[in-house]
Amino acid sequence: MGKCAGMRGPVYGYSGSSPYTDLVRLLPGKDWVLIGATPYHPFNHYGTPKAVRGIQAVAKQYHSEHPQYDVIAINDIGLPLGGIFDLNGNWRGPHFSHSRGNAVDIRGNGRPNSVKRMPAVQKRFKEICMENGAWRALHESQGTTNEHFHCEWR
Amino acid sequence: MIRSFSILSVVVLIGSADVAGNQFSDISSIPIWPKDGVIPVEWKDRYVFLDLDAGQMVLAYPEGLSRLRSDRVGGALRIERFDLKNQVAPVLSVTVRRNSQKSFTYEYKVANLASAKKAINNVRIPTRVFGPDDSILGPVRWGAAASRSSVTAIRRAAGVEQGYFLVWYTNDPDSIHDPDASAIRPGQSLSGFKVKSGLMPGFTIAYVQGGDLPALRKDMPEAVLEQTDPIMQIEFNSQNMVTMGPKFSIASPKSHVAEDFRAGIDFLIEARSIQKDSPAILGAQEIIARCIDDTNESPGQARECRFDSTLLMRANSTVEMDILHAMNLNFDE
Repeated sequence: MGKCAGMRGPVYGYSGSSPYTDLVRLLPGKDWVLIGATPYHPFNHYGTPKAVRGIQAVAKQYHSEHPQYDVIAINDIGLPLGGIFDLNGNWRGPHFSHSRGNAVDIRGNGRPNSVKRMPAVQKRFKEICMENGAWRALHESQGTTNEHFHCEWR
Repeated sequence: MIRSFSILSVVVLIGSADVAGNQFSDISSIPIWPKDGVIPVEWKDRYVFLDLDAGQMVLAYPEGLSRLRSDRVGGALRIERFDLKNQVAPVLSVTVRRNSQKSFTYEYKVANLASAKKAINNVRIPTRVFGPDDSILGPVRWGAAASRSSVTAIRRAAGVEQGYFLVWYTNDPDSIHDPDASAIRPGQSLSGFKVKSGLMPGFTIAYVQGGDLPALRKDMPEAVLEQTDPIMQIEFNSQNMVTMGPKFSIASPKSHVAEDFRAGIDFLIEARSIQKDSPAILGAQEIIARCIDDTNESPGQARECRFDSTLLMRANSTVEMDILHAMNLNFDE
């Protein structure tokens, strides 16, 4: 693990800085589904204990308030040892905010398990993140196939 | 028994003590945006400002500021403005009804004064517990939920590390066409914010909001985003209103309840919502003092935590009457 030169296989780790050894894995649950694993990053749901607890609570709360909708799809959080989460396998961004395991992306593009594409529900979803200790909750890439919510803990 | 409380429009100023007298970190360290737009040199490392007149958070940072490092500064100043969610002017009133020995129904009416800049779309009232027999309902096209939380706003209002927000939020399909569909627009009011709880009334804080969260971008410089942190918190980005909410279990020591009322009354005197030399308030304080002294000396006895119903006749304002009714529910029934 660590920074690899040349050959590129599955990456679990970090680049350039010390690894984060306190990250825990978000396991599948009844209130969410896990998505986003790729050959480069087969393990993409590692986060700080605080963030993982927060994500679980957000998913549970959303499902309890909107049982008629799909449970949410949880995309990238962080890698097992943190570090640069290079989406394209090239040790570059743009996933900087996921390098410490304290941020999560939630599907919002209308595909299965998206946060319901209704403004009132989308607004409420961000508020649920804030009520569960997130310090920011963003609605990103709106109207695109990459539309998602980004909630981040400290 | 129906008790109507209408005192409940006292704004809690962020940065002051809460109703229980606890001090919380304030946002007074956030600089105010200069009217001429010229940032003083001593604020060269400050990128986040408040424009109180506009009700906005102002971000002003060099375009060359690196996303991850704050030492790479340069370029023209980039200025972005975001509406705050506290640009509402709420007035809350609540009716408390005892359903049974261990069950109370609280029904709130929320008004938004004409001076508000935004329509109210979110009301949160913290409480300590939300049990299996408790329930929450909202007006038509509003959602209602008990949302477990441990953020500062909970500690501030409910005095516990972890509690629940009783939260009501607009949930209107028409929000696709109108973001303020079903929201309480300036000059309007709405009833039907109900919660059934096993807790008796005590002083708490309602957090009331309008609009949407500031749409910050992920690619903003970290140094800028960090400085937005205090403003994004619920207790700042809301109007904070003193109100009555579900707070004390039947088994709560009456001295705790009395302490809450003592702090609440002190707060309202400080806020000039009540007169400290009013006969009714003096009488209430006497009951509270006797209750605290007595329970300290004889734990569990609490025989002096009795409400004197003749005090109700001495109330000379709605506010005083409301305090006395709440004390009556706690101490005498």
